[in-house]
Amino acid sequence: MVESSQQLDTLFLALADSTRRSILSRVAEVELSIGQIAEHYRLTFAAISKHIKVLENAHLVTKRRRGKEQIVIIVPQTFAVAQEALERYATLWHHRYDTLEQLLTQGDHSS
Amino acid sequence: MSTTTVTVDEANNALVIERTFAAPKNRVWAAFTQAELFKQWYSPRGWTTTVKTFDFNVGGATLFGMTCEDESQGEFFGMTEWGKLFYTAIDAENSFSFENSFTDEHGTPTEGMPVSQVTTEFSETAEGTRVISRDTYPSLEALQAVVEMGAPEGLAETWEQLAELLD
Repeated sequence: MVESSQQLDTLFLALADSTRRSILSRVAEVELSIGQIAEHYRLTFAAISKHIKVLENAHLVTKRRRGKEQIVIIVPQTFAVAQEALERYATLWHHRYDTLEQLLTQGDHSS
Repeated sequence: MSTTTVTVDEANNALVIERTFAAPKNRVWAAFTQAELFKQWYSPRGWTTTVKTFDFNVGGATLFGMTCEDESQGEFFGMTEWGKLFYTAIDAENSFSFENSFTDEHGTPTEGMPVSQVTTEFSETAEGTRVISRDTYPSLEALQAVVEMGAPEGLAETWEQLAELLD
């Protein structure tokens, strides 16, 4: 395993919140400042900053300064880690069920 | 040709696996609940399944080993991983539930490994038989640990599954 178990913990816990996933969906499309993100939610600037911090700790986003503003940028590589972990599980089941389908087809003599 | 979908249901700490098979329900049910059929499809690619005990009754258990026969899988080659399915509910040809654990060859649970609760449902559709499994873990950490181990192979895909993950 390239990624440590602790990294994955942080990652999945960061993803296990609907507000944070919503924020990720927004910044995946366009770079936004924390103020711009806060405008979309009934949350204070401080609350949004906390969510951003959790995402930052999980390396899902990074921040960049633009004048007086902090711009939130998505880190696609981290998504790849989460995706790979899920895909290992999915691959197992794809293989199992493809094999099972063959088995069901072979044994098909309408009995 | 039907495809398998695997999605993450984070609200319920579950992985959901769905597939439709072009076969009658009783035959699909048999493939999950009879040792001779089960061992022919349950292993990852390049691995074979050995069934040590298979007692498909509530309170009974299946103890099975999966052995890697594929030299190209490096450190996994020759390795046997044991698992146990302890059946907790059976509704013939409709659904069954079991506790899924990692064990040694005697069925003793491996310390530190997650135990999940699985419910598999079978329903008749126009195309055949729909199978839906919900693999539920007590915590996201446990889910993460099992996801991390998964099968010893990966595949590069698009962002689609991630989109489902984030949905």
